[in-house]
This record gives sequence, structure tokens and C-alpha cells, in this order.
Amino acid sequence: MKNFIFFAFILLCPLSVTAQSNLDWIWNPEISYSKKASDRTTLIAKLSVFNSLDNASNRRFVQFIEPQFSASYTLTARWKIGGGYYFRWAEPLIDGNRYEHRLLQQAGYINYLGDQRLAHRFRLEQRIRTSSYQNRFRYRISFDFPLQGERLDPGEKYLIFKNEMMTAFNATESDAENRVSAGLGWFIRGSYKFEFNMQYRTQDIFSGEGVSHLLLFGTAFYISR
Amino acid sequence: MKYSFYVLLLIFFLSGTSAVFGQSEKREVEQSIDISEMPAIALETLNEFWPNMDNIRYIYETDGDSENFEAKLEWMGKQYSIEFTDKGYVIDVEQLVDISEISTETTDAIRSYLEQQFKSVRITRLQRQFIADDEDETDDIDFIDDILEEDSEDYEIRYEMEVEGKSNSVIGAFELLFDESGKNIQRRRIIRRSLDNIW
Repeated sequence: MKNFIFFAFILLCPLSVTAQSNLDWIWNPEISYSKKASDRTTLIAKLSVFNSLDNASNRRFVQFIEPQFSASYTLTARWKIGGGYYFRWAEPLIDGNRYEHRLLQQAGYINYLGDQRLAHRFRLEQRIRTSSYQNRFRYRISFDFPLQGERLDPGEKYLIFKNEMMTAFNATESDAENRVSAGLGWFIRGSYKFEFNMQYRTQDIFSGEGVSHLLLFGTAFYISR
Repeated sequence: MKYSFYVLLLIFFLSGTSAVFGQSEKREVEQSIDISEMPAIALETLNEFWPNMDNIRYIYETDGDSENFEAKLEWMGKQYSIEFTDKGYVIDVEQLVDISEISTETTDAIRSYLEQQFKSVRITRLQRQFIADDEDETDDIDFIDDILEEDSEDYEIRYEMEVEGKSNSVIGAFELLFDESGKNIQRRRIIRRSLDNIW
């Protein structure tokens, strides 16, 4: 019960910023399929969609559709490295839509305490857009743990908390962003899980034009083989 | 187009989840329970040695076929885990230990096994298991009394070790079981949850 109260508190905290004028509301459904290709290698395909709830009645509702493909390689029982390619199709319902190709390289370190997991992820990105190019460095810390007992069994729920900091750097633009999120997951069975999360983003920190905010409701379905 | 995309997505989700729920499988479940859900005989045994101890955690386990109960407690600076049958009789007692607390002969045998099996290895958890000798199998009070008094003639000792290891052919986490002399008697891979939501 205490966990649920804590979770509700974390979820409701970002609502205190809703009074601010430059807050975007987003619903982000995702579906992810991952497959172990070998003892060390995992392949992941994911589809992520950004929907602007502020534009639910017009053609800007779908902000972008993003198919993602990545692979990871297990270096040790705790370290993984990987890379991938993302394609972003921005505002697909609008004429003159825009694209982004994204390459990424990442490393992750996972600490285990029983079935509680603390993961660190370091990521480099090269974003090749229709009219610009951007490098970005991201660091994310994630913590998840089962709500019932010490081990997450099929049918049980878990909580997941994340915070990610990122900075963009290149000759023409630099910026920083923070993303904090809390989520409730359901481990349906061995290969399936479903997560609902709420994410609060603080964006354009160094832009000089005022910090913008984004509140994102995520629903993610994971299939892992 | 907007709505047709979401109708397709919904159909995909629904078809996926109906396939999930349509399958039957053997469920292994472990969950925290209240003291009132523990078998009375197990509570009597615990109360004999640790009366009025209020920081005991109780756990229920089932694999679909059998049910077990577990009590986890800290006593004299050591963490104990006592496993009971569904009727409340003791199955075994486990004590969390550091490898430095094991005899040199046993430690040498275990380290030798680890060196043979892995290029690099890290011990993440080590438990000393106490298993009752025949005469104590029906007398849980004597069995626990023997453990606390370190009367090692009346129980068998095993060591359950969790390691993260890497060799040319394998990588991952493993559960290893050793007898009192350090001879390996079982090795199982620990299947960890997918990292797809934190990677």
C-alpha cells in the first residue's frame, strides 16, 4: 500500500506544473519486440508514436512515428554495449512532412540486488534531420523492483523509475533536457509485459528562449523472446 | 488515416494479449504474506526460538504443484531464511555468510571449481544451508537448536552460491550448490528478466 501511495505521489508531482503555459501533453504508445540471437546478442525492434493531446482534433495529432532497430552485445554479466538506427517520420498527416535519421551507440551497466535492478545507460546519438544535424549525449539511470515479494513472478506488478539527462552539442546548436519518469509495469508472463508511465520533460534549458515543459503518458507493450 | 492507424494498432494489441491469456503454463509465484497466513506449526517453531520478534518477513512460494512457506529474520548479526512445508514443518535453514567464514579447505575447493569453470567470476551471494539428519527430520525444535548451538554432527551442511561468471562458452548468472567439502553438486543458470525496458 505504501508503494502505491509513493507511486501516486510521484505521478502527481508533475501536475503541479500544469499551470504553466508552455506545457505539451503527449500520449506515447510503444510496442517492442526483442529476441536473443545468441547467448550474448539481442536484437530489438520497436515502434514508438508521439501523439499530441493538445491537437487531438486536428491533423497535428500524430507528432511522429518512429520505428527503431537496435542490437546489444553482452560484454560481462553486467556490461552491455550496442547500437542502432531510428527513423523518425514527423507529422505524417501533414503535407510536407519531415524526416530524421538517427544513429546511436550506447553502453549500459546493470546492478542487481535480488530482483531489483539499477541500470546506467550512456548513449551517443547523431541526428540527421531534413534541415539540420545534431550530436547528443544522454545518460539515464533506471531502477525497477517487484511490488510483491522479492522476485517478479508472472502476473505480478513492478514499479520503475527513470531519470535521463541529455545535452546536444554541435557548431550551430546546443541544448539540454531532463526527463524524469515513474511507471507501473505488469509482468504478464515470461515473454510479455505492459507498462504505463508518466514522464515529465524539462526542455530547451540552454536555448535562451525559456524552458519548455512536456508531460508524457506512455503505454508500452514488450515482447521478449 | 489517423483513426485507421489506431484501429490497426488496437487489433494488434488485442490479438497479442488474447494469445497471452489463452495459454496455460506452470506458474512459479513467491510473495510476501502476513503472519496470519503462516501455518500454525511453523509459527510455534519460530516462537520457540525467537519469541516476540517482530521483524520477521513471511513469504509464500508455489510452483503450481507444491506450496512452501519461508520466514526471513536477522538474529545475532546473521540473516536466516527458514523454509517450511505447507503443513509448517521445517525443510531447511539457510544462513547468509561471507566466503571468509567458510573453512580454508572448503574455500580452496570452491575457488578451484570456479577457476576451472570461469575466466572471470564474481560471487554475488553465498548461503550456508543446514539440512536435518534423519533423526531430526521430524523434530524441528531439535534441528534448529542444533544449528544455533553449532552442533554440526546433527545436520548436513551445503553451500548455495550465486555468481556472475564468464568463460569462452558461457556468460551470465549461475546458482551453484556445493557440499561441505566444497565439491560442486549442482549448477543452474539464473534466468534474469529481459532488460528491454531499462536498456
